[in-house]
Amino acid sequence: MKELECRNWYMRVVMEYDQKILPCSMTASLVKFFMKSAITTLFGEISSAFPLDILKFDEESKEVIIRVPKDNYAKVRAALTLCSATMLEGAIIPIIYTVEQASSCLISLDGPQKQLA
Amino acid sequence: MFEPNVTEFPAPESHVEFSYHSWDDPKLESTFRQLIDEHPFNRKIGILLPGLSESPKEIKKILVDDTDYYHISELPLSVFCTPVFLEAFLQSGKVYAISCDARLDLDNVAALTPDGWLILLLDKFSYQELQLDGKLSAHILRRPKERYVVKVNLKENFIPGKPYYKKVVRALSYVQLKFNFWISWVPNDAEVCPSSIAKYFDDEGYHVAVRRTSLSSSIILNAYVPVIEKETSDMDLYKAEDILEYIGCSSLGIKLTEEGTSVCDVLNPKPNRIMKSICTVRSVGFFIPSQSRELIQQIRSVLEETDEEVLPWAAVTVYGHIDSVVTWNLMENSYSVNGDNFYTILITRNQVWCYKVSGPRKPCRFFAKCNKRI
Repeated sequence: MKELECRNWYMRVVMEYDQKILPCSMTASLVKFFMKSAITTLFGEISSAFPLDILKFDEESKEVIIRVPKDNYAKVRAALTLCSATMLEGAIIPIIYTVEQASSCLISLDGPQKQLA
Repeated sequence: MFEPNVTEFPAPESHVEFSYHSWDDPKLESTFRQLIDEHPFNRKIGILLPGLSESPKEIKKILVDDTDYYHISELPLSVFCTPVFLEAFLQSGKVYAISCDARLDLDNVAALTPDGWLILLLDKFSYQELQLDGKLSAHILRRPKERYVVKVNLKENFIPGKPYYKKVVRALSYVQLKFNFWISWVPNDAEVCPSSIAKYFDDEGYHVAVRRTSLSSSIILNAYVPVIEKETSDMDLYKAEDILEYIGCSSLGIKLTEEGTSVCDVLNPKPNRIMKSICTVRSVGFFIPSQSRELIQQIRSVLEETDEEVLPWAAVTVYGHIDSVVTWNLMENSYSVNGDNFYTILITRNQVWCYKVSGPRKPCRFFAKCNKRI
């Protein structure tokens, strides 16, 4: 069997935020903006300039599936884990991200999941 | 002192292997043996059927019929060494048993493979108490810092009354290691009922519960499906990766676009065509390799009976138990960021594409430690 080089990593992230504080409803573009600003805060502009794709955003369960390049995975995960709030239009908006699953293969996210105790 | 690297943070090691065969390729059998038969403990099966709105009855039947397994609570390991168990079950069939409700990265875990290997991953205290030979685990990332793998072969040179047998039985009876197990038994003699193992444990006084395989399905409407053409020997591996990504997207209910949007640049693999529906079937249970084989054969016959316009191809993903102590060929599994050990098989009318996804192979220890005697 030949080895495939995985170019991307995928993460299933659950967000916690209060919809009432937000000026508008949460959309995939806004999620991308919040995540990028979390990465800028921790690692600066160059790290946040790497591609970040929102594959799926479910407003009801606040669940996001994202794709990041392999080399940026550790930084994105660290930035999302450490993030507690983001600035939006001068207001501080508390947002917490929990990375539930991460893998180099997207189909792994559909597999059995470890229950966080 | 070396300058520390504070700018690059590499992703954890993971492996995706790929191979493709035509159905009459003689190497296909050996690939299937390595991929399917040597992967004993499977937890979940996902099937992707582009073009169909409902899964065929034959496929559902394989997933539901005769796939019951047993959950046995608080089973001490010494039970596996009793002469009755060895003769009635281990020697006359294949026993698949794995500890459930235990976390691979934190707790003690155990497994009994169909080849008769009893494999334990223990913390330092239990290991020292057990007094059986073992090796330091290759993957120790968090606490407990020291964990040991103990392997005992219950099928070879394990004869009641002999010194080695006495030593193992004494060790396992002295240390009361108890686990909850998922168990499944395939007898060599087809006339013997596989549920005999449940009756045996029930008669011995343990709590046995029958677990049924669950089945669920979802559907995506009007989505693009890539056309899989017959590949020649110099296939572009990027294409294989894109198709795997596509299978992942469809299984998770993500609809890809043709041009990309401002939030997502993931595109449909080309060439493709639009289809009315894509059906995904998921089944959670405890599957043994022969069931996966049977399922693949059944999907192949469904493909042959159906028109190519209706069902162009199908993909099966078999996920291993993430807290399993071993993966392929008794290789040690690890849980660092994920416990990935699964394979995906893409089936067309003339080809098979096999993907194998596994975790890190190099020993990764957070605390440097040599394998010395204690």
